[in-house]
Amino acid sequence: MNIESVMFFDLVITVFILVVALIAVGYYFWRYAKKVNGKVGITGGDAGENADLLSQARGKAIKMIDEANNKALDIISKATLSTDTVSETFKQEMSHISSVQIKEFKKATSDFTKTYFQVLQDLKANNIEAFQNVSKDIEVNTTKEITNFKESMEKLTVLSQDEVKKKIDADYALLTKEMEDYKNQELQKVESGIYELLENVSKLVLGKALSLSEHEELIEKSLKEAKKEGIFK
Amino acid sequence: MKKDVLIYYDLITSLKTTQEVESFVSEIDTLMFEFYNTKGLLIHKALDSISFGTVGKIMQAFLKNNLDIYNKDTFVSFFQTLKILIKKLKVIKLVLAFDPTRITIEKIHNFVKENIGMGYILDIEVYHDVLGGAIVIFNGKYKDFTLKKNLEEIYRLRRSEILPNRT
Repeated sequence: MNIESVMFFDLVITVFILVVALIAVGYYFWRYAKKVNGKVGITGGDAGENADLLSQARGKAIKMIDEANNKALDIISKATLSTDTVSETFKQEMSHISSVQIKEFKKATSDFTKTYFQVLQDLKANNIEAFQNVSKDIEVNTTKEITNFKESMEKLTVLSQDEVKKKIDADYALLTKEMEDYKNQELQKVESGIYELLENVSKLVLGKALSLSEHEELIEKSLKEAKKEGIFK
Repeated sequence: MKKDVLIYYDLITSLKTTQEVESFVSEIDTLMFEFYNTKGLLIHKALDSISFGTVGKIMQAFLKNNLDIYNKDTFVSFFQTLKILIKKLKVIKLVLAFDPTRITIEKIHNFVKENIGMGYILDIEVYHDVLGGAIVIFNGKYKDFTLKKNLEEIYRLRRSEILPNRT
């Protein structure tokens, strides 16, 4: 609450007190006049004089009341005027202050916005630069990693191809050998089987067909052949 | 005592196989053992320890060559020489397709005696799969004259006819 408002309320209270005092004085005079009129009636001798006095007093009182009223009205009007003036001044001050404040606020807002945008621009610029640097680093690192990976993959692929080729060649050679062995074994079995069959057939035919003398003859023939070949030398 | 090996001819030629030689040598060893272990070195006691057949052959050899069997020196010398001669016999190993009879063995031995010479004995082994003929092994040398071998040879030579697709 500022000073103008305090003064305004002080003024209103003063006016109020004065009005109450005026009413109280009026009421006192009315009571006094009534009392005086009552006493005059009782005495009856100086009635005319008393009536004049009374009317004079009444007139004085009315005059005084009028003056008081006028003064009160004057004070009130002055107070009202003063209040209006104060109010007007207050409004003007308020308006002025408000406009000043608004201007200040606008200026501060503008400055703040400007600063904010500036900071934001700087930050943005810094961030963009940082991001660009980071992006460039990432690009370089990624390119390097990709190159290394590619080289490693190429080496590994070549090695793997060689290994696989060697393995396939070895397996193929082994398989070929195994197949050849298996083929030979199977053929051997077939041959043995055929030979066994022939032998059995021969055994069945010759074994039963050969007589003891034929056996003996064959043995003697064998010994002759052995001698001819020089075994007994 | 005569040193002529002919006095041992009958005894030596009676031995045709390694089994017979082993048996005969075993009997001679027994005879000599008994001779040296009998009190008074009694020859007739020693002769009782071997088979009648062998005793007969020994007695024949002594009689045929006018040797006194009861002369201890002659007796000992005879068997010592006999053992030396037996050790000199040459062994012909024959693998045959059948188990030969004694007669067959005699025939084979005679054939050897006539065609190859004296002083050979036979070591016979039976292996039916050879079918016929004989495998002859002598002095580390080996020759196969069996029917089995002949069949194998025929099969080897004519294999392409039997298995035309063989690669």
